[in-house]
Amino acid sequence: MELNYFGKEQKVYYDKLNNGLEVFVVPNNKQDNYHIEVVTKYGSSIKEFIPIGEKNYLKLPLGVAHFLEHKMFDMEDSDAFEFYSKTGTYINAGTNYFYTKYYIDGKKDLKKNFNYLLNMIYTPFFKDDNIENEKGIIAEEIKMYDDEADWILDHESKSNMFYTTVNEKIAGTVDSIKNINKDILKKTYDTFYQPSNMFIVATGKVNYKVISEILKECVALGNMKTNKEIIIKKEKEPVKVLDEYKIIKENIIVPKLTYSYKFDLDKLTSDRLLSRLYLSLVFTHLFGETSKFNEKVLENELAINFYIDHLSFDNIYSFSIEAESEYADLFKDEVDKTLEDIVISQEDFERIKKIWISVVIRSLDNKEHLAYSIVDDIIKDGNIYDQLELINSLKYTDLLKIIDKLDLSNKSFILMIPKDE
Amino acid sequence: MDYKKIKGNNYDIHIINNTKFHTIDCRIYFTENVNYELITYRNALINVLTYATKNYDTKEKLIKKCQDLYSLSPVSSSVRNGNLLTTKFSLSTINSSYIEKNNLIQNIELLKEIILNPLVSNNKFNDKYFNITKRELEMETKTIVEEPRLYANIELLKLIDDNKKIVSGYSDLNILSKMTPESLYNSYLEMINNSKIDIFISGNINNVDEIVKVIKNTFDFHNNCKLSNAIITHNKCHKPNIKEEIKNYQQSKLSIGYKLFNLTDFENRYVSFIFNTLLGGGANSLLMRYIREEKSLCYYINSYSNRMDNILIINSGINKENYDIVLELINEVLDNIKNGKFTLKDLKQSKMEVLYALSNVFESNRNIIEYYYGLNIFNSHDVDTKIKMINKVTKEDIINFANKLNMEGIFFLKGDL
Repeated sequence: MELNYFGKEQKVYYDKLNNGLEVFVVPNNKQDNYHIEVVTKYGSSIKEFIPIGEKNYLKLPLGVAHFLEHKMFDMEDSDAFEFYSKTGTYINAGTNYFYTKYYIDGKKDLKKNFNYLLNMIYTPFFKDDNIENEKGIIAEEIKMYDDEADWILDHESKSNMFYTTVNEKIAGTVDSIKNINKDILKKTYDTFYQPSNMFIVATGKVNYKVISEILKECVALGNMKTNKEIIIKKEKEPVKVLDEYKIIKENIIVPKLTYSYKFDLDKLTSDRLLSRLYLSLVFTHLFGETSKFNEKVLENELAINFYIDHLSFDNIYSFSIEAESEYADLFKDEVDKTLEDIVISQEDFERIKKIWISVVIRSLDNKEHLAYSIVDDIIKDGNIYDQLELINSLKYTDLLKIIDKLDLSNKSFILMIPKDE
Repeated sequence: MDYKKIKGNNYDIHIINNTKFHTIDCRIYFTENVNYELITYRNALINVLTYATKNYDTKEKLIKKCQDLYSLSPVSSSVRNGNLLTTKFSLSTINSSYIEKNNLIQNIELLKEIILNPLVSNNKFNDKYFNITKRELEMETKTIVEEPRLYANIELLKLIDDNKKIVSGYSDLNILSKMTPESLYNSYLEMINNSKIDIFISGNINNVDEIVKVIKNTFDFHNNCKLSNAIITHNKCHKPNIKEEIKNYQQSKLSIGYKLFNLTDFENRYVSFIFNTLLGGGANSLLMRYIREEKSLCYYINSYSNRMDNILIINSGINKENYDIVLELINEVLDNIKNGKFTLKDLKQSKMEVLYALSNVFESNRNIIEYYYGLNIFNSHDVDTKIKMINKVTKEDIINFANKLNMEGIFFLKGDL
């Protein structure tokens, strides 16, 4: 099936195979290289599930999704990094709260390289001593991030605001990974790496026919058990923030803060995707580069720098401002003042739409960024949309209605101060 | 891809016409002979100039103007490459049938506004944006210590070079404290009047002659400076300078610095890249395979070489108890290379990785401009020559190169948690 990703300027070739695997091929033949991602809709937020063929729930130690990502590179009779080195192809993987992905970037031998990636993913090789060996490596990875103030602040602000889903560290803790073993990895793999729970996004110099043929011919993929129902113990995230205020002490020089707001998308419109877009538009306008808030912060030295961030899952949407500031209280007051009376002119609304269109057009030239955006859309909305149509469908009158409905009292503030204060 | 170099008034215009992208990039490069003070001054300049101009006298107004032209915001940076300092400013506009019109000419004019019509009165920069910039840079330097990986690296550079030549790009607090809106303006005039200046346009340009004419009418500079050789060479080997610092961290950081002596041009341009990739350039490197995968002693261990500075650095995050063993294993890996104990397959794979990195040269307008800038300023070779020369690197070359490394410093940031 042929879909539009950005009007007629960027097509997507889509198919769902009999084994349930979904394929999104987004070709740009002006590019020299290809980028292919194989994604499972399994990330660190899944904490309890019924393994395929069993009746009882299995509660996972923290960090299994990330641990599994590391161990998928093990193969019985070859070494993935060495294989890809032969053609200079880049391979890597990543795990977040909602998915795990494996990807290659290359110029040569697409067929051989993609086929190898599929074989790596669909012929797992779990061995006790390899698993034990990996614990030392991952423990060092966890410790590395645990020493970084921005990382700590990010985790603390999420665990301060959320009860479920994003409240724990993706890689787990040095202690929790000690409990991971072959049996846990295998059961998790068998359940979540079923092709019916996975999808593929290919960008850059790719061709749907070639991708499709490789998928059809891959024996390992053909041998996979699939289309079995996945039962997850789903925790419903309360809309109310967990804690409204918290102070932590770390190895820093300048205090850091995160000020976050949490919203229920279902209270805004009947379409979560549109609600998300409108909220993103509101906060980009109020706190973005061209905002009055930005100018005030600069002028009054309320912060050295600050960033805005958005996070969304199910019916939940959160908006955060992270800042380095010696005047955290004044900064917080300025945020409050900005939100007391939200004014967005029609001219500003149209300008932001224009910027968004420009951002999407730019992403068409960047195969990694494009794949990232498409994966993100599929995870959040289960599908992709014509970005041009979507942005053009936003209406100023609907934006005003959403602004009226916003509950800005549901917020959480976290302050990180130097240890010696 | 069609490349043209045209003489402007004391600068060069480079037009790279290609139909690969939806964007057209305009960039202006100022290249100067570096001195230590200049790094901090240029860091300030790239911020001050992109905050506001005379016609757009607030950040809000300037960025809104950029957005009207589909350019998002101006991008600027200042980077030291050996003995040279490059300060660059760019705008990137969209070329698509889905926007009203092509804004290239207005973008060129806006770039001129940013660079040649700064918010200046009485020969000094506007106090407000000067103070904001100064404070931002001060904090950026002060907070390096909050990032242990970065901190270890910068401290290592201080250990291996006391002449302040091989320095990081961060601002110096003493120089910042003495900087004034007047001194920054004088430094700005020096950059405008004494740099080698290059203007690049890359993208789908259907009116090249008109664009060249617009650039020539828009930009007029007075001088075109002579640049030194970019490459820093070292004459004397030193015993390694070793320093340990204890901080409240869970993981310790080990950074080791090597200087490279008496390299031939071929070694400096090519063998160094292949050697670095083989040693610690990626997931399949000798250091990763031995110290991470086999010995399970770290999550990351990597190396990077800088051909302009003639140095090579190894970085790793380890458990404090493993300092001696990791150091011993790194030496073992290097000794093995010196003794030829690596396979031709290893060498071939390293070459392939470097060749793939080269294939990304033409994947964005930014990379394309950087490539042509390198050809013009650093006398870099073209891609075809590079591919040919990389394929010529032999095992013997790698062994000889390994023997030209001298360990000059070890910085150990010991975590006491």
